[in-house]
Amino acid sequence: MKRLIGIASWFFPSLTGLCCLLILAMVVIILGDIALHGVQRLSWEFVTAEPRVGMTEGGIFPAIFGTVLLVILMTIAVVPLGVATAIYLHEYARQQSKIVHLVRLALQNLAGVPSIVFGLFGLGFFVAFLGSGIDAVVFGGRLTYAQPCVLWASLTLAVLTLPTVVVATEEALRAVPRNYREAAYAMGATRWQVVRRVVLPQSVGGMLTGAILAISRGAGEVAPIMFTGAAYYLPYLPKKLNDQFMELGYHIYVMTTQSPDVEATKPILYSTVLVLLLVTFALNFTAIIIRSRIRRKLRST
Amino acid sequence: MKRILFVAALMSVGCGQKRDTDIIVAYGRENNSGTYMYFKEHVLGGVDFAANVQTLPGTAAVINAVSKDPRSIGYGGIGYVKGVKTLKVEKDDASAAVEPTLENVVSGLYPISRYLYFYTAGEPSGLAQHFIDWVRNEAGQKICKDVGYYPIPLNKRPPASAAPSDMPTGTITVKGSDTMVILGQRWAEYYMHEHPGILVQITGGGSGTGIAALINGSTNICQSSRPMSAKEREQIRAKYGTDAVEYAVAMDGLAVFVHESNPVTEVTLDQLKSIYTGVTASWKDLGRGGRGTTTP
Amino acid sequence: MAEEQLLLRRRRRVGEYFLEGLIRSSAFVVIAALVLIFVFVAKEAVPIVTSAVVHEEVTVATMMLPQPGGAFSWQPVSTVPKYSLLPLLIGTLKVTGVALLIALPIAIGGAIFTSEFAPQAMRELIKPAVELLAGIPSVVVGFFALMVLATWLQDAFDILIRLNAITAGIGLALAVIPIVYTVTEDALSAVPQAFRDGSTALGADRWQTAWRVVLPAAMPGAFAACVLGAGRAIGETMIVLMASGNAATVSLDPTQSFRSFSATIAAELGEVVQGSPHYHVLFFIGAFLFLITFLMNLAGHWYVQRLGQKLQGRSRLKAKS
Repeated sequence: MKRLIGIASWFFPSLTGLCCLLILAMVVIILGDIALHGVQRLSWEFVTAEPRVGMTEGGIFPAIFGTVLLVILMTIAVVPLGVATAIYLHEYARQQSKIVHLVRLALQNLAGVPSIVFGLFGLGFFVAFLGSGIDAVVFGGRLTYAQPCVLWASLTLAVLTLPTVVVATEEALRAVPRNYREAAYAMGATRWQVVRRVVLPQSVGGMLTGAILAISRGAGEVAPIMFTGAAYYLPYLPKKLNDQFMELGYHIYVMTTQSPDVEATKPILYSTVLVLLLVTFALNFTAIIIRSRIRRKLRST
Repeated sequence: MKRILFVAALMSVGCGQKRDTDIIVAYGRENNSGTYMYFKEHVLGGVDFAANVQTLPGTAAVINAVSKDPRSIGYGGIGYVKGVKTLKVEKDDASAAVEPTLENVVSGLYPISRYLYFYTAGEPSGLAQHFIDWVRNEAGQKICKDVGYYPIPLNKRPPASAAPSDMPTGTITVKGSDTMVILGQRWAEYYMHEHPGILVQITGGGSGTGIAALINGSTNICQSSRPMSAKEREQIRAKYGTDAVEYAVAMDGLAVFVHESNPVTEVTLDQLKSIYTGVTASWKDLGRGGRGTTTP
Repeated sequence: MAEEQLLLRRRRRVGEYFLEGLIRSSAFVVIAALVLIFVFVAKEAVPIVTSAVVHEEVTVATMMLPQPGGAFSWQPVSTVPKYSLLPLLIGTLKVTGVALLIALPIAIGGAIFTSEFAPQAMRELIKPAVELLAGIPSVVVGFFALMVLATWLQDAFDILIRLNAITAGIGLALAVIPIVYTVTEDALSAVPQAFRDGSTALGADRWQTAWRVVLPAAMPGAFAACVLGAGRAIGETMIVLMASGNAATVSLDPTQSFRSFSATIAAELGEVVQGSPHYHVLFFIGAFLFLITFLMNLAGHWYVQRLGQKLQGRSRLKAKS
């Protein structure tokens, strides 16, 4: 019996250690496979050229451009809203009030809504409802916004990434020491002045983290934009808000399942995946660094 | 808890054990694609596909799967076929096996080929009319083969129309089938080269999306790999008071293919039907006196 | 002069009120977003229940009950369209089951190791690795499962059908592991150090402490992790769409191809005739998915809260005594 316990005391911990190794192995295998195959085709030309010959040659510039445009629009929409929500939750509302409880509940659930449902929502609300409304009121019924386009896709992603921004910003607000606020109030500042002059400047990093995490999430999501604006192939870059666009993640899906020549596309496909991964990881990495600084600050106060 | 997990793991392994090496693994296309509808109508005679036919979101995915799976069979546009073995197809037991070559598809000898379409709401005019005529004539049809499709027969082509006398400028929008985006794009490239000042915008999204765009007026031309449904035609009539006009713009032969190691060389339409409706589940049972149907 | 200053101050106050109003209302946008999502998805699903035209083709009953001949088939494009949800339900449950079977032991085991046994250096390595895993877009995981993993598995185990619930389940597990790991690890770290000290003082070794004391204390958190992971697995789209084979089979065999709810929407919505019964059925599935994941999230977060209360309650008790 005693020996059994003795075995258990090292066997099970090493079993859990094995689980950790498995997770590490998964990450290494996926990233290794993609990096190994993807790096062969990667070049400056690849990221700056347009696809040619039915996507079997050339580059992926339009997809990169579309992705950047998409996440910029998304950021413009989601950051102010997310930051304002976080400020409300942390600075204005009474912490135990029903409203705060409800907002937090909504945020948690919003984060769990399946991405394909966001796609349906974008199609039903933004494209069909808002789009048609705008067309009827502003454009006299002429079809302008009642169609899938970059504006609606980015707003759909903004709703999807809202919880990310709120959570990151709130964490930063929490890191601002209580006595800063108290000092400001003691000098007669109004609540808005405290928020504007004391709290916000201290929490820029958190907002930045939120924005970066949102971008990294948004850049990789495909299901929500499939029906709200992403295009299989476009001969031109999007110029107006109601243009469709090409996007890296969707481009990967399309090339994997619909390219006219699977073998010829494979190197391009791998390189596109690598580019998408590099972009999201670079963003995540920046966010992690900023966040660890905030956490350190939080710990020191 | 641990024990339950263990038993479940054992069971799942056990399920994988009872395998039949002669089983046919059938791949097809997603149920909304034009390819799916065509195959169902012309090969299956309207009967439903068997539930275990795997439907992949694109022809490339089908080819990719078949090229890696020795027991598999799949079908898809000829233009995509690479790295797999294309079968000759017989219309029935009496007829000869036909390869899906250009001549056989255009002459109609190859039994499973279809037209790809342009649709407009009412008779097109001006630029759209000119572009459609250009596509359906020699200039446009010779491009089809570049991207793996075949030209429409000569007797289906319209008389060449003269270019509008005052060199027009403007934009033509074409939207629809993802299958046809690359083809449309190629046409647009050549057309714009010949007619500077005209911009042709090609976008995909799917045949359904394209037809919806035609109905709500956001595109001049819809390209579709499936014929328009009665309901969609009705919607066009209700909105514009005129019928939708259909133009055949290219031919697409549906190739039937298997893994390169598969010794089968030809297949009849009846055999295809029995495979895809689930009647025949094994390469062994495919036999009609053993003709070209040895097990892989 | 003084009057002017007063005016200026008042104007600033008006501006402040306006901005504060914006901030207050922004919080309601979050609630509104969640409500709008459900309303607008459900709106397009309502004709399934109310429209007589749709009823000619499909009703809620025909989606649930066996079709003539006792079959359950999903054949929406057919002379007689058949919309049985059973194959999709089975497919979704099957892949979720496989994914959880793989993800839960690994993620929970990993979390236990990280919080109880790992040296600091190891912890610094494993946490970013999990964040990396979480950062891989699902379309990339789908691509990997379809192009690489399917071939490896087929070669290794000689599976008949390359795209099946195991292939897709492993892919899905990659997406579920980070969630389960993070929530469980948070729960384990939330257990007060006093619990461990007490256990050690009574002569328990580290494994006994972890298994008999820390894990039971963190149980609601670990349970929440499982529920949240399951919610993610049910809703995940791209991985399943690309790696499942999408055959609407009624089979519990994990080596068979299957079709899930989410992949069905993604695959069919692009080409469907808008406003047709089929279109409404897809939104109906969407609304259903929303409700399922909504309930699972509620349950998950309820357990997280209970964990908090439980640990706080105990430490308060400790403080009193």
